[in-house]
Amino acid sequence: MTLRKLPHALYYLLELLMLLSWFILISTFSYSFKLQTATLFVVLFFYCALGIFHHKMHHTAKAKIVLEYILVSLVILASFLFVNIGKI
Amino acid sequence: MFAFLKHLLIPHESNNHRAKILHNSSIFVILVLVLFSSLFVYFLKNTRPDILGISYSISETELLALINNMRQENGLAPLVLNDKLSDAARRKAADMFQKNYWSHFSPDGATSPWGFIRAAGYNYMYAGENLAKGFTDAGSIVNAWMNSSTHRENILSSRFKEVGFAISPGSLQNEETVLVVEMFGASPQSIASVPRIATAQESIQAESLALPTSTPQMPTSTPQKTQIANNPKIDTGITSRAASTVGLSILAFSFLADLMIVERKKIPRIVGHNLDHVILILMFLLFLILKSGGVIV
Repeated sequence: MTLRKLPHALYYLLELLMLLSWFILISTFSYSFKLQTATLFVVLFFYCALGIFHHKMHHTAKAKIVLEYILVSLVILASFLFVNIGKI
Repeated sequence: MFAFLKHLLIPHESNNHRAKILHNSSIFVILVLVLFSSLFVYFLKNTRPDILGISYSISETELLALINNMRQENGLAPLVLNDKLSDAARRKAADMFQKNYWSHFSPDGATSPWGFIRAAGYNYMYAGENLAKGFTDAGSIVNAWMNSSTHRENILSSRFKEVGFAISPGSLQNEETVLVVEMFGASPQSIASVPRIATAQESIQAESLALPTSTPQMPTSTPQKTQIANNPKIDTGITSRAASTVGLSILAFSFLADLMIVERKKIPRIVGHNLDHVILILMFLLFLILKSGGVIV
């Protein structure tokens, strides 16, 4: 009930904090492509989880929305691999 | 054409009030395109490195000149290129490739910069080491070193009188890269011969003396390379980064435009939160823009 009352802004703030943490981690792990990939994988998982949770709290979680979050995350992951193709 | 772009990027009746590019089917197509491009680049890079690869051009002469310029600006005598220090640097680069590590000290603790300098026959009173990898030109390397306090300290140390470089392309930790090892030193002889700050004219003389005119005397398994360059027709790094930046910018713009138009028209629909996706894409774009080509330790 309390969670449902949380404003949208708080979710976006949480997401922003999570992505900023990722940004710091990925810069710290600039020496290791494997660690960078693992960090991105974890953050994209939590990105999807947070997004779906956000929709669930507002009763708008549908299969196509879950799929949308997964697809956007996969596009980001694929782009990361594409720009680092020299390291694969 | 305009109608097609409108259908693709702007929400209206024809695309059920959701820009076509943002439909799950379209995002799936984008994903397949990125994966297909990655595979294409991967195979072309490995089969035709003359067409697709990493372009770089780094020379020992340029590194020395840039470093001596920095020293001169700070009222220090120029460093003189020393063959033994260059040999030590090549040994270090070969060791990093062989043992697959990226550090001043090998993971097994068996080797240190000082060990390579001694093994090359250089009798040092003071010694130092700067490392760089993944850079494509000498200017970027020296800039990165000058922006790091410890590396800058080495470059601008009045204790060091001589320097040696190794510029070695190879595969390190599953990544095709170029290693640059810079070894600083001061032997009792060099300290005795360079007792004061050189004038500008003397600096130029020192640089011209530093040009590699003969092969090194130290026997080493790695051949001496004072300049390396690779100029494929298409640079993998630049191309993939540019394509990703453009593609993701279009996607972010579409999500943002979709959000603004639908919010203004108050059209009810059940889709993901566009702002979530915009924040994610913008953060990734920031990473792409700030992603530096090289690393120093």
